[in-house]
Amino acid sequence: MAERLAKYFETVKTMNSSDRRKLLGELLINNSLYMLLFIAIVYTYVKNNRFLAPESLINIISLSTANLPIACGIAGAIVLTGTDLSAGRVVGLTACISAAMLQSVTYAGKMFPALPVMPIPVVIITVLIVGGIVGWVNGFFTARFHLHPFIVTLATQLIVYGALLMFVMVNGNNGQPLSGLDDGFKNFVTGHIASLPWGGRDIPIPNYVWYGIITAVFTWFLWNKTRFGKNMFAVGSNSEAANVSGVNVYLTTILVHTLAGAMYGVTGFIESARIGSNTANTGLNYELDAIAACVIGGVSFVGGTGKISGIVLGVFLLRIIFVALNFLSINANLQYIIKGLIILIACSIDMRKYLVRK
Amino acid sequence: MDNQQSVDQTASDSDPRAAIIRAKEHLYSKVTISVKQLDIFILCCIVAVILLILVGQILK
Repeated sequence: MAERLAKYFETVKTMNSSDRRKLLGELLINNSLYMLLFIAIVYTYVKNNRFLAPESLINIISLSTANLPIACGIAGAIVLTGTDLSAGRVVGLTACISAAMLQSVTYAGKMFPALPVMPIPVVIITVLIVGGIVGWVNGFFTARFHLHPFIVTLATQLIVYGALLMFVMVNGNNGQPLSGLDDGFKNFVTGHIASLPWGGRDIPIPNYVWYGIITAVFTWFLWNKTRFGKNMFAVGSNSEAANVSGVNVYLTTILVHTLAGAMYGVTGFIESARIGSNTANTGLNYELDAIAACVIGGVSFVGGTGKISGIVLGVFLLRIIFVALNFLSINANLQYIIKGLIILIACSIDMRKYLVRK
Repeated sequence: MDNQQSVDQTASDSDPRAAIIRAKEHLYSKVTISVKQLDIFILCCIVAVILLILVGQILK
């Protein structure tokens, strides 16, 4: 790194003033999103100095890491030139299942009064299986019938939503929010085992931050250190060439979608305890934020391109912008326009880097 | 010489970073707009974001 920087500065020294100006322009425009982010952070801090308070920073980190599993799952589908519209609804379904299995026995509105509080590993396995089944269905129809993932996941989104609406109605619950969660469950997800010492105070880091980090590291390992990961990128780049090279395209597609479904299950489990009161609307539009984070992080919809570091950066960048806009009390309608423009800027900058090479 | 080139090509093929760059170059090879036009578009978007934030501040 230091060697590369030294070489870069050597090259800059040998340039004339016109080339240097051009280089500066390139540097500014290629990093304009980060500069915009920096300006937004400084502006928000000047307007509201609580924005950079330790509690706010931990809040940004917590909310970002809570969304990491869903973003990592969707990124796999995007690498395969697809997408996954069912993600948010799977999060909602698994969040409601987790809540129903882990409601406190003393809670008056318990959905299944005869059901004891289930052991947490059983609930985790259940949500992984439920998410995995939906993912498997997505993968099966995409790989077997060569249907576009957009259509397949649109269908599963509707099916899962219907199942979720029926689930929250069972046993006389009539769509009431699933709350009154067991303390053990809440502690497992939103409790803390580590704190950040800051100005003589200890600011707790919620446990789900670690779960998000573990999921991202696990996905990084799968993508970069296993044959499955190499096959996934090969299928995403050119499925026909991958097939000729001996890659099992059918199995790889199913595995990527099943893994993505399991990731949504993890997000549902985390969100269930984090939100504390789960309804059929839990997880609504989560897939859109996750897709936006992936796009900002450089995961290409043409397939075969994407890095976990980019996804993490995209998730954090998007979250910082959401929180900053809320701190600035910007109208919610305007926030949507700003988010859309930021996605366009990210895509354009990514495209520019490669157009310059032509 | 050809063998050496082939070995170099194979090494570059196995590099995931090189694969990503190749995939993106292939993706953007069909784009017909110029860099200058893209720069103008990016700058317009940035200005729009800044203006919207300022307008949002006034409207709140």
